Amino acid sequence: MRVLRFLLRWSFLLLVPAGAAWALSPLGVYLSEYAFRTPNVFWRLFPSAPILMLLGLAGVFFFVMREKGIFAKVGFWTVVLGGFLTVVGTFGKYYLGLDDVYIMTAPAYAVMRAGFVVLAAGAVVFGAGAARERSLPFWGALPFAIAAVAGLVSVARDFGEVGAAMWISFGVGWSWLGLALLIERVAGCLKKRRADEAEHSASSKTPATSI
Amino acid sequence: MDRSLTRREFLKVAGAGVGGAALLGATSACGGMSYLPSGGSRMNVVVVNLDSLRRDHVGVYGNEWINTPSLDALAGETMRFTRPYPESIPTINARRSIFTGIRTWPFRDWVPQRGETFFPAGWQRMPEDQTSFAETLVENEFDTALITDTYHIFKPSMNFQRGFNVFDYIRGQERDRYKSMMLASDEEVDRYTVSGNNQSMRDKVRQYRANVSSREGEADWFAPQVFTRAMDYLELAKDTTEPFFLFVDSFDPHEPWDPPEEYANMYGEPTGTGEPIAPNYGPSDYLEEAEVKRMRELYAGSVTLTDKWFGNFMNKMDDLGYMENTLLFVFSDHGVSLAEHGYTGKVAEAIWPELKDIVFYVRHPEGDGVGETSDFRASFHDIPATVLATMGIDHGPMDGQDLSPVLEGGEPEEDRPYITLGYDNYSWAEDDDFALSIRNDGEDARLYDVQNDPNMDDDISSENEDVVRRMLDEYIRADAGEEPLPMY
Repeated sequence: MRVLRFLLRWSFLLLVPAGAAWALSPLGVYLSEYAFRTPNVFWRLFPSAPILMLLGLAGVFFFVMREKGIFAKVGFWTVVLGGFLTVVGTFGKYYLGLDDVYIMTAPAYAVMRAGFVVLAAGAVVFGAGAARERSLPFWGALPFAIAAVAGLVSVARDFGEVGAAMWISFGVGWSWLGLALLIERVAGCLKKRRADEAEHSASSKTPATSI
Repeated sequence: MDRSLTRREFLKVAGAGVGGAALLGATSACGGMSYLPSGGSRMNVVVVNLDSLRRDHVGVYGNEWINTPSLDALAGETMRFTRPYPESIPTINARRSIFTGIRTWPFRDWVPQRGETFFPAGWQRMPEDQTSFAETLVENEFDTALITDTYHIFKPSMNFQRGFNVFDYIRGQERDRYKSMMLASDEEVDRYTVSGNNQSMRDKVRQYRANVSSREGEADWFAPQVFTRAMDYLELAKDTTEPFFLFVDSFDPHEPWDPPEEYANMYGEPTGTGEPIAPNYGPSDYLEEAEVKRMRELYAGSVTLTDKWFGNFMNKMDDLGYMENTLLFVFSDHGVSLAEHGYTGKVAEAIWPELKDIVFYVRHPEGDGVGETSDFRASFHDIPATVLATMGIDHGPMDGQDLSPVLEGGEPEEDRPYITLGYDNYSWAEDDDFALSIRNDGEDARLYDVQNDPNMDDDISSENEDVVRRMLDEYIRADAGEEPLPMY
């Protein structure tokens, strides 16, 4: 039980690999194309990024944030919806081959792309809300929100190199948030330890009152 | 809750901003490949043109003596149009409307191309202000390939490669200046011409025979080469995820009608004198009766050869599963006169069914209209309009219309109760009752009753001047924008 509680408390750290996985996906596409002459090998692996994002953000939402304003709540659940759509669409397209059957409607691809947009839009709302409400470190939440705006633009349509840079920024924003929370927590622990030590040394220097 | 920005917070956010800016710069090196998954409409597009294939030489369109098993079977896999027509004639004019969706006729603002040797009105490169749908498709992440031996479109004065990632040009057809004419002797030219052939045709045959001087087996003939290269492309494309647009433009069964011996003698035997493989473009009275018969046999042999290799291509399409995800068009650009109305070749004043009746098949991958026929008057400019509409791709103005409603069994977007087309200074109009051929200055009219005289043998223009006037005004001049028709 203690282990589980420990894991849940630190699950926000999944934001770091989640963002890295997202940010590295253009490289993944390139390597997949280079090695297998198709980007599909990479895209089959891609769902790991949104899944990690969802788990990491759930850790933040449930085990880090003490106060949750309306924006953070709306943003979080929007991200959950977007991540779910992304994963479902990717699975339908690259594992089930739905679009090979329904060529014209391409339902899986449509769900996947819609998932991207909803995910990024939710991240914008969540990040901006958390920054505004100071429910997360401002210096972590605001860059996260800005990166999410870039992500939202990048998934709207293919903007070439600039779009790729914005896509990567989105991933970096998630990692940034995870690292910011880590630093804040470590700093908090250190501060608490120093305070404890100070208190302890103060109490040890105080002569015991004796009668 | 304290919402003021502390100095420390500002510095941290600014640090993130600087890092982000550096990232943007660094990641620009990742360019060249889409970072988004491709998908949506993954439909491929294959367009096959069989140059100079006459409608009445295909079994499923009514021919009973020429073997065209592939084109016949195709009818069961497609919607077959029974009354298609060429937007304009000949080769280059047709290609312009095929690629742009914009009518080429009435050939206004024609710019004769320097270096050309053939000058029918409208025979020119695609105008710079018009867009080839290959360009539109390549912008929409299609791989685009043009495989052809139709040498006119790859002459230096032309620009039909616009928008194609690959243009695979197979050299040597007809007058393509591929090999030195010195390779063909007078005796060889005599063997492949008849005594009535004019000097232009003798020159054509000399160039052609020089071009093919090194060929050996059937696979070295042109239709086999074109379709083999197209099959190679299909094999290559099966491993990629991006959709493709393949345009296969086979010059066969255009003359010279010089198929391998097996096909040349499939429908008859040589006359013992020269083979009439290249018709004069003009009156047919230079031919003896036996030569006319032989010319038709050679053309029929060329049709069967083309059909066989087209069939191989279609089998490859099927084997690789492309029939299920490919929008397919198969058609011919025009026919050719084989002395039916006193003309051979392609002559502007000799527009009759043998010249203007074409084949036209469309297969939608979801099976819309498969095995059915339509009497909608489809034509070349409908091809890009249909392709881009099916893909949901925006495009500039086009004269053609989306054939999808017809494929789905519904009414066309716009009814087409009559057609107009043109070849050089002549125009043609046709509705359910009459067909009119007329020179653009209003002279030289011929009128036919298409219900009672489908072969158009009896000119009834003199006793139906009102019909001639009506068709000229309401069809030809109306479609030409009410402006006087150009005479070149």
